[in-house]
Amino acid sequence: MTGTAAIEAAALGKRFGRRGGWALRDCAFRLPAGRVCAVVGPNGAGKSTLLALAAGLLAPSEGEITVLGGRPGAARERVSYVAQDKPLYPQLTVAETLRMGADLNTDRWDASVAERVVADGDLNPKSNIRALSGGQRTRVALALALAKRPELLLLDEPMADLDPLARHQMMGLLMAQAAESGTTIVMSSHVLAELEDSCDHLLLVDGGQVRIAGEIDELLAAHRRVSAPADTVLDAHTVVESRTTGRQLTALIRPLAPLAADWQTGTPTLEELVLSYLRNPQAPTTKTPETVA
Amino acid sequence: MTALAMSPTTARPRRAVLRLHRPALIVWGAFVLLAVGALLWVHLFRAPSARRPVDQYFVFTDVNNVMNFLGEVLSYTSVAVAAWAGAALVGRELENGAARFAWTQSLTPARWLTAQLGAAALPLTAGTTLLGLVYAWVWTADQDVLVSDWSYDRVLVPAGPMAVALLLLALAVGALAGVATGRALPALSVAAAVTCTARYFFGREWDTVWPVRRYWPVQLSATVVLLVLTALALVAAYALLGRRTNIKGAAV
Repeated sequence: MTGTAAIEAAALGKRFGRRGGWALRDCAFRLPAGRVCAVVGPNGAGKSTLLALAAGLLAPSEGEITVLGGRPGAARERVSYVAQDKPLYPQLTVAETLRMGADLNTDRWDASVAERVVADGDLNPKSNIRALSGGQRTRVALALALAKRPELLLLDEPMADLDPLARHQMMGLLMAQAAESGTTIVMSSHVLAELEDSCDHLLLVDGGQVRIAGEIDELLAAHRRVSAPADTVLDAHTVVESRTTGRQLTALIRPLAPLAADWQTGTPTLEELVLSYLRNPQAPTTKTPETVA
Repeated sequence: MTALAMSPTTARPRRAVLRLHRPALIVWGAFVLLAVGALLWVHLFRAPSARRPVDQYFVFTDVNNVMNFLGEVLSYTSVAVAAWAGAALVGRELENGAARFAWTQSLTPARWLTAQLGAAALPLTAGTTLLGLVYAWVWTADQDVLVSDWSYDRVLVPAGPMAVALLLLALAVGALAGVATGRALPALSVAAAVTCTARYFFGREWDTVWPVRRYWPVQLSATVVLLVLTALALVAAYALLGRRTNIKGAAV
């Protein structure tokens, strides 16, 4: 383990209703502080549930989750959370919403940050929240989240409503925040391309479980894309995915031994890596050492 | 860390609540002023007029009609308050999700509820106390022309401390219904129905259980029972909220 953990989960599970299905089950991972982490996975994988658990809005059905070293919710003043539907009070104006943020976070509030984020979006401070478009609402929600100057920023599908220009601008703001204040940022999305360039850490959630956790560079370095003759035996390695076409075998593996010299090998892209795992639910879980809880 | 999260310096939730519910506060203030004005009108103009038999009788300005009407309105204020507390104060923000905004700022859900209830209870208590005092004063001063007995619910409910207790119960029941249903309309219906029942029972039936019917014992005992019910509703509301939002152990 290196440094402190922003989020740590052990055997974490959440079930909705006594007989409902498990939204998350048996999740164990550790997110070191200071990372910009992408939480990716298909729709309904459990990403939102995981973030709501970390924000202290849901109680785990089993297992444990620790946020900034304590119970989720115990560190409310140091954690910002923006839910997927960007909850705000519809009857307030933009300016009143920002003042409400100031009232509810007196010690940490940085009004200039909130005002700048809102002003960059050409938002009229006097407009009602209920009259805003989805993207404008997102902007107000992000302004509140950033002005709180959090140590941990939890964002559930933050970019979904934003146009490409606004997305680029907001991502820039988030990255600047991460660089200046060392804020840990956790962002979920089912569009990998949205996060690929900005994140250094990956959490792949699928079927209610964490399938991959780790630094993106390390994860990519730990996997190889190989092409070899069809009769090649890969048993010495961890095989994520393998396909045989004609006399050719292509596979994504985690090498556990030196690779044969006559194989063609290459480093996979992040998208190839994620898709290989998603296509193969039986593939083993991969976690880099510092992410093991 | 828990101490920090709960320390009152990290948030000023009452101001935020007042900002959210400013329209309701204005409506309440206007209602109190209007009702006090009407009571003064009864005392200064309608009662003296009733003492002069030469003045013509008119159904809408007759001292007893006006006083009875005011008594009915004031005695049902609690039902309106319950409906508002259930729907607008608590239920709606759970239904549209806005509560999750408040709950992820620097304060716990329980402290947010406390701020909501406190911000509402203060003006409600002040206004009802004023109305109760004015009503009791007018009713006592103009006994010679008023016909309603004190044991009628339209006198018993608004004229004493029971009015304040009933309003606080309405607020607590509204909060409980809001937290329990998580929706505005169901919370409104449940809270209004429960408060209406409480108003009926303590306004009409409570005095009949006493062997000797005297004003103060009936008033004060009803007040005490209503306050106990209020406390129970509040305990239930906080417990439910705690279960909903994972704040075991760090409730208030």
